[in-house]
Amino acid sequence: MDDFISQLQSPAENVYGESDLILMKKAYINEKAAPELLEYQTDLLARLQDQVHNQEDTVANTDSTHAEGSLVRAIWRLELARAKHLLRAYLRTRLIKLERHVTAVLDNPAMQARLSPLELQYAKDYFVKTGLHLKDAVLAHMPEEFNSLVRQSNVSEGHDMLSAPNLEAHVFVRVLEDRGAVNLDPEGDDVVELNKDDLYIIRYEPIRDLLKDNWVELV
Amino acid sequence: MPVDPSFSPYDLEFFAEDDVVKIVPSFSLPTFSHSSIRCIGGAFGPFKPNIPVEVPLWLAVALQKRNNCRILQPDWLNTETLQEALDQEKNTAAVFHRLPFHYLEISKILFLHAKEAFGTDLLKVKELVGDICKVRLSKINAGLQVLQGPMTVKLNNLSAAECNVIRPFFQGALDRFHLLASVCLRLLP
Repeated sequence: MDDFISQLQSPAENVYGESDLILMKKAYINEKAAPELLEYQTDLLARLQDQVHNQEDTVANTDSTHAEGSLVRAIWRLELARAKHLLRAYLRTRLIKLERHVTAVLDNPAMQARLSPLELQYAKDYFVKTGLHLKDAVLAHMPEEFNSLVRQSNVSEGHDMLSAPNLEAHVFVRVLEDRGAVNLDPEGDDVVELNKDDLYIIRYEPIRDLLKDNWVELV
Repeated sequence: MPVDPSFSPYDLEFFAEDDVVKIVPSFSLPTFSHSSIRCIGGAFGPFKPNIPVEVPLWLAVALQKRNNCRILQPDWLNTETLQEALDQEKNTAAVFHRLPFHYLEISKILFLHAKEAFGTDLLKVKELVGDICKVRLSKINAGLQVLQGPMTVKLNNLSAAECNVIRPFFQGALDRFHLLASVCLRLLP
């Protein structure tokens, strides 16, 4: 029974291989499940958008007057709809997270580097617009010591009022490759054994780098 | 406010539709190379009348709706295998039996769009899937009761839908336990 289950468990290993669509699906799931914004998948997005455009041209140029053409066209259309849905879901999820953590993202160059140029522009515009509104509606009426958008008061050291993602949040994670023992706590000795196909609920922070290097995926 | 990491049931069905099933096509595509359809996700086919072929579930359902194919009953979704799975599920309290990650979504889609694939077994198969699901959920609930304190929980072979069901509670509880533990550490060195 395990033979066909292994086929079903991971579409990547099925007869059709790991297409960009499957990669995109995984990127979306990771993005949705991770507490922080992940790296923008520049290459993957570009490839997939390219493929979608080409496929749209093919559909437009296919003669659908005979039964065969109309069947194939219907299937192409259906797949295109699925691909576009996935692209939209991915980009929207990122924008939602970006809006929630916009101050923290703009405050940190390493986090800014994970955005696409368009997303960065969006973040800046969004920050300026919501910032102006908040200043107008609230901060203008506050005493001067407390009227900063990113600092709790004048005596704060640095920006201490950012809505940062909670890296200590727990996530569901599946192990893709045997990794062996991983220490979850730099000071203690809270060690877990990560073997292929294991499924854990685990704190995000210790597995952050493993996710980046494709040792694990979120579910 | 944390970003809600839960998926909707529609999301899960969408993900499940990439899994492959076997179909028997009733058409061919003589003017297309290898009688297959070149899509973004790969070249699906070859489609030849009465020759079984593996395609993603979304394609199988689309073809079936147009009466262009017959979906075959997956090997793991027949009465014997399911009965075996149910027995194992009942006999092992701590372990979950290995099922396809999207077993609930796939069976739901097939029960809806490919009733014919199951013939006279349809009711029996539905009942078995329902029973398996119930036994697993009660095991999950038992697992939740032993959750007391910050920890890493291992949940091998849990399916996508099951993860999604327990996500809000598990994550909330574990996040809170972790927070309390780290505050304790700071206060009582």
